[in-house]
Amino acid sequence: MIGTLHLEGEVTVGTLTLEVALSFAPGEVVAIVGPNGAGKTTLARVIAGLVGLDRGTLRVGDERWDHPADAIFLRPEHRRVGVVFQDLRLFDHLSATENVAFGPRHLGLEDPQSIACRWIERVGLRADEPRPIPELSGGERQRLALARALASEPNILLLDEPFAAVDAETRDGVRALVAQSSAAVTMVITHDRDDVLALADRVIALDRGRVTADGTIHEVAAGDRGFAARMLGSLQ
Amino acid sequence: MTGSFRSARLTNTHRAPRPWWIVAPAVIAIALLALPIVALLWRTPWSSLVDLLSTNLAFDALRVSLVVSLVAAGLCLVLGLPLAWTLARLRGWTRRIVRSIVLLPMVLPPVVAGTALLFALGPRQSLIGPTLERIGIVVPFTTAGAVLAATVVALPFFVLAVEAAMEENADGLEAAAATLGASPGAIFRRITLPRARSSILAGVVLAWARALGEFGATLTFAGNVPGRTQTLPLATFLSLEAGDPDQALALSVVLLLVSLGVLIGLRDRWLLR
Repeated sequence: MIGTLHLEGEVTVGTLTLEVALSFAPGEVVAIVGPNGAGKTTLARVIAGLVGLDRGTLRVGDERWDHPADAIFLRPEHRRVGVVFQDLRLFDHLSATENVAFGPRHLGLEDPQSIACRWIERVGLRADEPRPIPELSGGERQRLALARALASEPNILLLDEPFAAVDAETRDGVRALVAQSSAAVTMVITHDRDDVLALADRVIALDRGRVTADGTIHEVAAGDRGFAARMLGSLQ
Repeated sequence: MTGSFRSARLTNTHRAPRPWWIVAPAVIAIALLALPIVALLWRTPWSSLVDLLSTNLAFDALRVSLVVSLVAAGLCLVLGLPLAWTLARLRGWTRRIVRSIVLLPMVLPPVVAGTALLFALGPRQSLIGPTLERIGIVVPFTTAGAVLAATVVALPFFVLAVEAAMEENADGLEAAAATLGASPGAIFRRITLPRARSSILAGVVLAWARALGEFGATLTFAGNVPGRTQTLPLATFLSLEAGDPDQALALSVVLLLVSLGVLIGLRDRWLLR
């Protein structure tokens, strides 16, 4: 179990400057919504340690992960942040099982192979999948990426548009896996209203690098006059 | 309605015409490249080829060439891979400087590379040659010197072949591996290296071919000692100079066959475009 995640800081990537002050308590499942270029993926990259803050602090419990003023930066391999990337980033040169076993192996978990098989079956794939990664369907690849992220038992789980290619029948099962995951904090970047309704108990709307709304689904749907309200629509 | 198009010249293919003033120089260029090879094959004394390649000169040169070029290719792999990885991670002016140093031997006349090596490691008036000699290491005019000369000229070819594959974040796989707990060393071993396999193989073959053909730097720095530094290209030139064109042709055919082998080996990369 980890403590509350506090992020207060600023980072510029390309033409986008993300400037936020956010806290995530253990147990929260948060949907991050907003138009393209709002800074959703950048926010995820900051938390995962794939981009460093220019200014400010990222703190988890009483541990500082990123604090440029004191040259503190915890490298991504030490953060236990699981990520399902929008472009999946599966390792094509490894088997499906080896993709999922990759995390457990490098984190020194016991018996990575059987952990991998268990997770592959949980996302509804075959543990003895003989096909190489490029031959899997879009939905299968997405579920494999989820299995890979979950298998390393992350403290924080970041999902960037995770269910776009998953077909409707398996979507509920995959959502259930996310809901049951051991991660203390889960963030789902999504354009899908149903993802928000099924998973999240809190919605954060971003626009041009800033938070425009933050609250329960009903609060954001009622209070925000921008993207989030349009996306969530009427909740009656 | 279609009348207005009648005057247009119609052909039964979709191919655009090829102006003769572009095609003619292209044909001349192909002839320029192919003619010497045809001449070489035409003049080669095929019936006595086996005898010509069984002489001491040919045998020694073949042996020295194989040893020198294989060890040089190995050195290119062992030194060049970390170099390419490091180079791909440099930014700004350090990257430009290191890159210039790495690529210079590719455009530098090999005889200059040999001369430079001589003043770095040579017996007299060199940078570190006398120091090496004091601890019992003599490089110039030895097989080791020939290996060094070949490595210097071949290394840029290897680095260039693998540099792109060592680049980080081309597809974000390194970042994904890092979030899964892999250290930079583990990422190199399990992601970067296996994915660069075909580039590495091509780089080794390319470096080996360049090392095998080395002439100027070897002659300048390692000399022309039969059985020790006299490689196939040196023996070929020496045979010509000594008025033995048949011997030179026989050795040339060996090098030509090896070169064809390299091309066939790299066909997936270069020929089937």
